[in-house]
Amino acid sequence: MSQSAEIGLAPSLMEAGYNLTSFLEQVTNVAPSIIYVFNQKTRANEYANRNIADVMGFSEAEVQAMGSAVLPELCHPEDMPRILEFHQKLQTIDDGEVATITYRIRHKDGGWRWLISYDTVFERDAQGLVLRTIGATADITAQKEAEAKTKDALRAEALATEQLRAFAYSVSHEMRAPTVTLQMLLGELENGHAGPLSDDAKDLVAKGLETVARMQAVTENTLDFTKLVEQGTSLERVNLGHILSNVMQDLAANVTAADATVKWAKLPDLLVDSLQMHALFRNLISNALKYSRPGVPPAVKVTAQVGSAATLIAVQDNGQGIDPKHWNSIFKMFWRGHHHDDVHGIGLGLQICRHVVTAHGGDIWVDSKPGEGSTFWIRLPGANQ
Amino acid sequence: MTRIANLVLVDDNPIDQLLYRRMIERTGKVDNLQEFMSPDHAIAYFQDNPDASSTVVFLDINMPRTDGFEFLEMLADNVTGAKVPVVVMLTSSLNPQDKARAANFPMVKEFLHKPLRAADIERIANAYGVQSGDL
Repeated sequence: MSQSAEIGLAPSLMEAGYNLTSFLEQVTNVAPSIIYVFNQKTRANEYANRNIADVMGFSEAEVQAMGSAVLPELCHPEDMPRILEFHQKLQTIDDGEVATITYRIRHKDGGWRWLISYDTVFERDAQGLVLRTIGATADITAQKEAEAKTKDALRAEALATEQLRAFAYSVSHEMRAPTVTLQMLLGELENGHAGPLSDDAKDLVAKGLETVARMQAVTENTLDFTKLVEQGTSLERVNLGHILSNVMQDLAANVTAADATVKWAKLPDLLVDSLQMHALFRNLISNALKYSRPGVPPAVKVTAQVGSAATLIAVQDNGQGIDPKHWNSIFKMFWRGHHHDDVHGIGLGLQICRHVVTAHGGDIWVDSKPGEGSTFWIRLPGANQ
Repeated sequence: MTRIANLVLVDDNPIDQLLYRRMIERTGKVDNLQEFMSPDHAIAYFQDNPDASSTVVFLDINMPRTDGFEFLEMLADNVTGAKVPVVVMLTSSLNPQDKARAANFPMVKEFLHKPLRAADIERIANAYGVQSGDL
């Protein structure tokens, strides 16, 4: 028993007792690579197995006939400096060391093929200089083309996203100026600066001002959203309860107006973007205040369970609840569940929430009983450490 | 009570200008009103009237050709020392960078978001105006 067999390695060819010549002939026949011997003195290819015809279209005889012109004849001019450098390196490598290179070769049909070559020393001359190298080459054209296609697709997608982002930003900016002008024009009428108005006219002007306020909410929310996306994510360790206190300061007037109570348990420190988390809680809580049941003061509760790999946050309300068939659509842009007279939503709040949670590598979903209330669940990776 | 002796409006939107004029006239707080839809024309006015010490400028930011910030740079080149006007930025821009950029110009005293309100005019007249008796 040889030592290599004991430890589970394949026995060497000698130990297996194979006919070496026959073994090598078969290997060169079945290998999916071009196997070749290159003479470093004459710069010519001396041997190649039959696969060279499949990859390059040239027969072995044709390649041999190119003699020392084989490299400049077949290699892509842009790759030549690297190839020459590679061959220089081959002169200096140690026996058993394998050098590798990817490059392009001209097919007989005129097209280019991407190849990867692994080369090692085959024979040295009397002075110990490398005389011949032996190598194996595989055709990786399909892989290279797929890589290039993916790269192009990604680049096109990034460009399209960037253009859309800039578009959304400038549209909301450009929309704001005429909206404000319209608000001022209607304000002149409302305040009677153009003479007294009939009751009917007053009512129409008031409706006009309401409509303008909605337009402003849409443009400002769109701006907020594009800003949030543009700013990117910068993580710091923050206490979620601290963020929530800040949010409650922002929403103090809404809480009073809605006669609401908002409570939260002890919340953990997490590695988050505090601006984004602020936007998340602000939107979830202001939704809970907005979509309350008539005659039922909103009660909102925020809790967190800290697990070993993730934190699960729940924002629970006692509001109108959401029909299960809408549980997915509420997270879509500009989706609104109500007639616009009912509630002044514009359909970006939960889109912002989803963006924030996704940017943190987490998930958001809802669980709700219509007529009883909703719970928004947020799973954020990373526990309280 | 103080008044604004000279108010220069620089805004490319003629309807906004009309609304400002109506509002300013109603407050009765402004003695002389100069309206420019083009910042370049406003600069020419300051070149002809380099003593702007009793002038308040209401300046828009997003305007074609010369924007509000370019106007401020040109104004700083043309009017110096104690003769500079009080500039009030009046814009529909919500961009915090615009506000930060405006703060770099010492002559900019306020940054207001449109819509302009009569109360804004009265407050500015009280803060930066001159005594009625001086006129």
